[in-house]
Amino acid sequence: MTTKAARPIPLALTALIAFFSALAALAVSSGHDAHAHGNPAGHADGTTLTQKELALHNGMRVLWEDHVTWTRLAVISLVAGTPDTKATVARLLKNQTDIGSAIKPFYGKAAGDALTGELRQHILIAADLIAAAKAGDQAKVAAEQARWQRNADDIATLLSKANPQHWARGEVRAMLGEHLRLTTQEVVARLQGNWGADVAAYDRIHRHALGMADTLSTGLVDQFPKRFR
Amino acid sequence: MITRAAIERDLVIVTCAISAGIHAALIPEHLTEGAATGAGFAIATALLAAVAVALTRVVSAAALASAAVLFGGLIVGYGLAVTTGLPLFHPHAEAVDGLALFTKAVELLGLLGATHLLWRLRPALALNYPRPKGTPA
Repeated sequence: MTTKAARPIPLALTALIAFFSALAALAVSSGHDAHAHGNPAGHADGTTLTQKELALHNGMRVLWEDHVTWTRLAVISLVAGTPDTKATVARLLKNQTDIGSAIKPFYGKAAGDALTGELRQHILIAADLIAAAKAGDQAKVAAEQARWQRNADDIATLLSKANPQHWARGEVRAMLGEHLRLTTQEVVARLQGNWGADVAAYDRIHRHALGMADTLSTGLVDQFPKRFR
Repeated sequence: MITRAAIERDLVIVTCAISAGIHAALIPEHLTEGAATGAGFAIATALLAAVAVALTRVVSAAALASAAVLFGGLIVGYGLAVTTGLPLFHPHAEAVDGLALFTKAVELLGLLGATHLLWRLRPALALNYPRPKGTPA
């Protein structure tokens, strides 16, 4: 081996190699997305979901269906004062842990635990609200409703900090506000024994909860596209 | 005559350029995951580009050592990113990805080239470039 060597690769050629590497990486990356969107089951924009996206989408819908279903069962139990109340509320609280755990793979344990904590407050405040309404304590009802809204605002802040691009605070706040409004309608109808309105309110809550689940799963997919290829 | 040292030097430059290009292309995608993750890719791009530019000018021990440390760091960083997660830049483990594996293979080649040049050919490197007329040998 000699100690002499040819001139190194010119800077322009080096830059060209970097440029074409970037182009190739973009092509491969886009190709992944195109392939990922080649399975049946669709996005709202006409493209299709990957298996991983579908699993997240369905899992999130199950969690939020559980949320509104166990909330309804808890409302029924709390209003009627039936002996299953404790077990039903415990199951409802477990759902808050499940929802918090669902975001841990993306945002970590601390964020997941924080969401669980806020969602548990959401449930416990609702229970206090129902108790105040049953007792006819209007001042307490107003106070608990304000607390409930502040808790929803805290949840919106937490989520928007985690994913500011896809979960804008204002949009999440409005979404959660609608959830509180519809749940209030359900509770009021049940307290008044207006069963038709009670059932109609639950139908609206159910559809709205599925929309919330989709907002969350879509936001996760858009923020972490690589994890869903 | 093209020596083995020259081939290894060019290999390090090319691997720096390829890795820099790939990291640059992936900055926007990683910015959506988080500012720190995107910043990590931008920093890696800038450092790789700087080392590539340096090596096209003078093959110094410092530039080769920088390339070796940079490639080693990127390979270890990716290993952490797909296992335990990389604190600050990528806190949670991600799935193994074909493009990333290709990039790490390229970086491994660069790492091998840089370390080989550093440890076996360093005395010769100073002689590799044409000297200006009148400069004593």
